[in-house]
Amino acid sequence: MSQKLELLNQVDIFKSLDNSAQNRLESIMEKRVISAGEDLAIQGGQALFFFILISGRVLLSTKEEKAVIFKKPGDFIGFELLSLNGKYTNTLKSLIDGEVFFLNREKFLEMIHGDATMVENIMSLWGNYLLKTAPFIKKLDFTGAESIY
Amino acid sequence: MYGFEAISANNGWSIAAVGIIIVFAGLVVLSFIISQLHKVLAFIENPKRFEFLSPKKSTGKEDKYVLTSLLKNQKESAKQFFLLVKTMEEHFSLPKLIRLAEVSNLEKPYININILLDSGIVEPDSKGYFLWNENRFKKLIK
Repeated sequence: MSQKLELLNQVDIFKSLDNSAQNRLESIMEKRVISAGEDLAIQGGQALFFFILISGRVLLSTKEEKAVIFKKPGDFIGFELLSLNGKYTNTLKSLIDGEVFFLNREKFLEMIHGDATMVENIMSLWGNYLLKTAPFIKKLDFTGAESIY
Repeated sequence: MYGFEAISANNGWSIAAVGIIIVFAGLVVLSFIISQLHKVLAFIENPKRFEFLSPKKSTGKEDKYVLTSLLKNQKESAKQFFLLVKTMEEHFSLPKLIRLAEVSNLEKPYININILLDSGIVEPDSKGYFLWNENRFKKLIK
């Protein structure tokens, strides 16, 4: 099993996807090395990627200067944690050197857009994940609003 | 020679006594095994219930921290961060602390913040802000 698939099976949101969906997801993941202090996403900038942490520690900070730390391999940083209307809503910085899978945001949204069951499944798991990791970030209503991500 | 006389002459009484003792001991052992059989079956069914048989996992508070001691330069850095945190609210913003550290020219602010997190000196309050654990700080910079 590839490292990508192995990690996808650790991500709460993606581990229940079937093999074909996981393979499609795998094809849009790109591994990159990140270094301490590096900006992965800047608030207001064009949202190009979502992220899955492989190693290291990243800090997501909101407009209100609240913050959440992601440090677990398989932590997924995307959706309303990160983007709205194609722009990054929050800033994501690396605290230490590490590795991250970059997911092309557009391709990812395209991929899930055509599969209603998959969207429903992912968004329901995402809701739980958000509640667990960053409950202070308000979850948007996804129904009929796929484009806003 | 017949009867009791023959039994006595050939150690019959002692042989009978040894026989009785052996049979009785065998029955005691057998009944003990049967009485404990349910535990063996329970173990086969659910080995996790018998965690006390495996080496004890440490439950010390230290276990939750990645770092349990600091190097000299890390202690110095922690002291500098403490001075900055003292100017902030009790539940402080981590991005703001990093910005203050950058403005104050503290060395490697991101890596040092990570050390504070790993050592438990800085802890999230689950509402998006962070707390300075003074007891932990005092203990580690001693």
